[in-house]
Amino acid sequence: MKRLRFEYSARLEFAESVSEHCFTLRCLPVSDGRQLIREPQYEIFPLENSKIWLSRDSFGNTLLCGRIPDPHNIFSFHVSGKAEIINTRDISGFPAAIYGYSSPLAKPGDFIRKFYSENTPTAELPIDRAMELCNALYNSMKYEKGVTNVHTAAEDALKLGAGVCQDYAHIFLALCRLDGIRCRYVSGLAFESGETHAWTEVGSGSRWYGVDPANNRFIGENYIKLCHGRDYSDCPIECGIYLGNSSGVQTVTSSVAEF
Amino acid sequence: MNTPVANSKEINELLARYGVKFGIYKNGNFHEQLFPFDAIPRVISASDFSELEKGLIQRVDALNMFLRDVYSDKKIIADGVVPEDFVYSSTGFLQQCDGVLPPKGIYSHISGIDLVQAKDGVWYILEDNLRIPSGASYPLIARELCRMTSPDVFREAKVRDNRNYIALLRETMNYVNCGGINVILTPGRYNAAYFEHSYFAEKTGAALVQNSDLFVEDNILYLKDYQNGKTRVGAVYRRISDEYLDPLTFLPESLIGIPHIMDAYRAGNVALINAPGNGAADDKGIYYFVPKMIEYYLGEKAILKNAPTYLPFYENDRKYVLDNLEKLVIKDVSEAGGYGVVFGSDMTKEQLADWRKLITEQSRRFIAQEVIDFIDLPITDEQGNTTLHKADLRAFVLSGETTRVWCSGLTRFSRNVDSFVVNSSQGGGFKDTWVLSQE
Amino acid sequence: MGTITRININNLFWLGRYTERVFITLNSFFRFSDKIIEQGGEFYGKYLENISVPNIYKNSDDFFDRYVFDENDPNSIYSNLLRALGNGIVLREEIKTPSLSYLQMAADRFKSCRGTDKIRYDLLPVRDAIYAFWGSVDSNMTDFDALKIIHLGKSVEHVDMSLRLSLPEEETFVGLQNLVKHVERYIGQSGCIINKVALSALKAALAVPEKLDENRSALITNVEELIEVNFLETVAV
Repeated sequence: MKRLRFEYSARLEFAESVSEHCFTLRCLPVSDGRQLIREPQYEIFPLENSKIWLSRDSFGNTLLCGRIPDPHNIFSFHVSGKAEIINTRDISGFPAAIYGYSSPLAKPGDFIRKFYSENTPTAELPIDRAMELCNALYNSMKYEKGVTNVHTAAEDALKLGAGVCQDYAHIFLALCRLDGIRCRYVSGLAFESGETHAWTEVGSGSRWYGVDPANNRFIGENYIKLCHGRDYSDCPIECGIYLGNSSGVQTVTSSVAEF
Repeated sequence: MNTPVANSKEINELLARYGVKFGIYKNGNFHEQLFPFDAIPRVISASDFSELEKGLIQRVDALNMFLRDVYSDKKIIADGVVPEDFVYSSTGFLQQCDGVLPPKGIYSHISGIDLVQAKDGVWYILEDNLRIPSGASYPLIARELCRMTSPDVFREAKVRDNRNYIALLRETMNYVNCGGINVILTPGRYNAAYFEHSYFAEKTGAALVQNSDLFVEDNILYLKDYQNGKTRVGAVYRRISDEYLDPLTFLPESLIGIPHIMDAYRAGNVALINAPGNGAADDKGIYYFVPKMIEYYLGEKAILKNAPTYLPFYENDRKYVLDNLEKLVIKDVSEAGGYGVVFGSDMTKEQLADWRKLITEQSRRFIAQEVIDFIDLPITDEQGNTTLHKADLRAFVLSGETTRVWCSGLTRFSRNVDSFVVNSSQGGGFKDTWVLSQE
Repeated sequence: MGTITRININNLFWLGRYTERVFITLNSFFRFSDKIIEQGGEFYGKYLENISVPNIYKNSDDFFDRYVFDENDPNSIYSNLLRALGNGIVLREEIKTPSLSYLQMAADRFKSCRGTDKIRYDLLPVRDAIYAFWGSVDSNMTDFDALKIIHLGKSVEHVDMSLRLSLPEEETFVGLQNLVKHVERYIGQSGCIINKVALSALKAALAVPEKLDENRSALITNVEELIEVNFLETVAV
């Protein structure tokens, strides 16, 4: 068992002030068969006149919801806590047939179908087949920042042959689902410092396996899952809507460390 | 019985006076049109209606049970009655609603069931509308006006009073209300059915609101008043579609939704009328399975018939559809409002070939139906002549403490004599629907 | 029911203003069209100047047609009625269907008698409908606060138009007196924001009735600024 301490914070700065700001954050990790979350804490700014409360979506994610009616130029939040990685069977959300169906950002097009037919796996177990697909994908994609964005669909990323962890995850999900494998998208923390990471979970033998397509391997012991869904659009870590004419500039920091 | 209640002109003038209109977008511009009224009523006998009533209650009860099942245990899938694919790949199935039990367990509070009567007198279900079926206000107000212009006709004909619709609607809202006031949520002035939204608000006493009047805190929905005070809302009769309801759950670009309203709903603090996700049951593909649902959930044979329907998804059906395309009607399961409906009989040889290819490639996307030769109803034109037009009937079924059928309905007729399409957004008009109280 | 939302306040206020604007301009137009029986229609330019409406008309026939009936002329009486109707349509549940139907009937009347040669006679039903509208809101509306806001709009418009049209001083004085009374008595808790400076200026003007006439333009500004109805409109994601 591994003990980890994690932190995640984001700060959004607006050139002109905004008001009636409503947001939903999916950055409070949930305990499951793999990770036990201890002492989760959160802070939100600005707090005066704001309302903050918890909710839960139908994927099982904890939602940190809030409404800030007053005008403000800065919005920030900070989440921290401890996690124990226990690695028992993770069965959260099974049987989860819905994860076998294609979703908006992981929909197969001609490119993905062609790729699948050229790289159809030969192993028997779903997880082994998934790893074959993962390997094939890893060898034909180039990790490159700035060529895609959070709304890029799997088909377009594969056409481009390049992208970031989110794109790897989406293409991988589309391939697995073509193969009849149930699988889902995961956002989380995985690095000592820096940004958040995206990976996947593959359903096989009535449990989930964490697979990191961007690194072509199973997830490591320092990974902490924040949320999951069919693809990114089901579970953005942060989404909000407000009155005002300016779009914010965001800075994010996160860290995971052993202790 | 073809007793015109007055000449149509008088009633149409009164309808104009009361602003009974629907909006339509033509070339990107908003226009308001009167919904032409024809004075010859559709008459349904007491015994016919009693049969319809039983059949509609049975159908809507089964549809509500289906919704409850697919959003919880999914037994009907496990038992192989409805294929998994028809639930999960339907655009109407919303994963965001999975596991949510709405207040009092009711999903479809106001159901608009479209029927036609064949020439042999048999009624067939054309489609179920379980999302936001509109149109009840038109026959409701028309009846009021007809009683004013032709009191003698109503003294003689034993027509059941249909003006209890408002009471039914209010009772339904009150029954599922989770504490707080009732509101009607409209996308605004430029919605096709704005008249209806404001009319129902006036008559039921619910507040007519737009998204910016509402907000959520601590998973409770509130109405803002002008002094920045707040009033708790317990039920929302919402007239905006699922995908625009909550920008933090569905389409983020929605500017007519209410952030966090889905959280309030999931927490059981507010009733949404109708429940989001109902599209899972009124999908044109799911239609095929409704008689099977009735047997599965209620252990009864369906009282009302579906139009004979084929699913190209099944191999046998596909073969039949491809062989008989020229006499069938094809419907795209993802389209609504009379769009995406094509008749094989209207197709050229090339078009038939194209459609056969499309149906083979995208078998899940279409259903095919036999064309029902339904009865034509007489319409008086401006010159006073009578012509026959195709017409359907939208029956309104309200589910609260019990399931009840409104003893009237919206009878719509096609604009052109030979057209089968009776949707108000594609021209055409409406009639009063009389349900007789005795034979 | 008693829940006025912030958007509704704006509509209530402008419903009152536009309805009153139509009523007053119609009356003054009626007086004008009576005069031209002897004087000839060519002095319509003077009439427009009085009510500060730009003279965009080709001749007197054009004026009589477009100024009264043209929905594409933003200053026409009909356009103002359509604005009243537009505000009414979004307030059906507050003002009730019968009230709305009178505005609709007035609009339909304009539409049906364009091109008439007896304009005053043919537009009489419009005036009747507006009288009926006021009777209807007074007897059908259940929300007292909302009713008071419509009357506030009516009162503001009445004084504004009296000043612009140079109506008899006494009429203007009484209108202004009523406006100040209405504001002080009912509007305090209504959610409308009152411009206190403008209110004291108006009260000061009431103290010296003989000077009403020379202060006309300043008073118009004060009346226009008396009530601030505003709400946020911009939304960004």
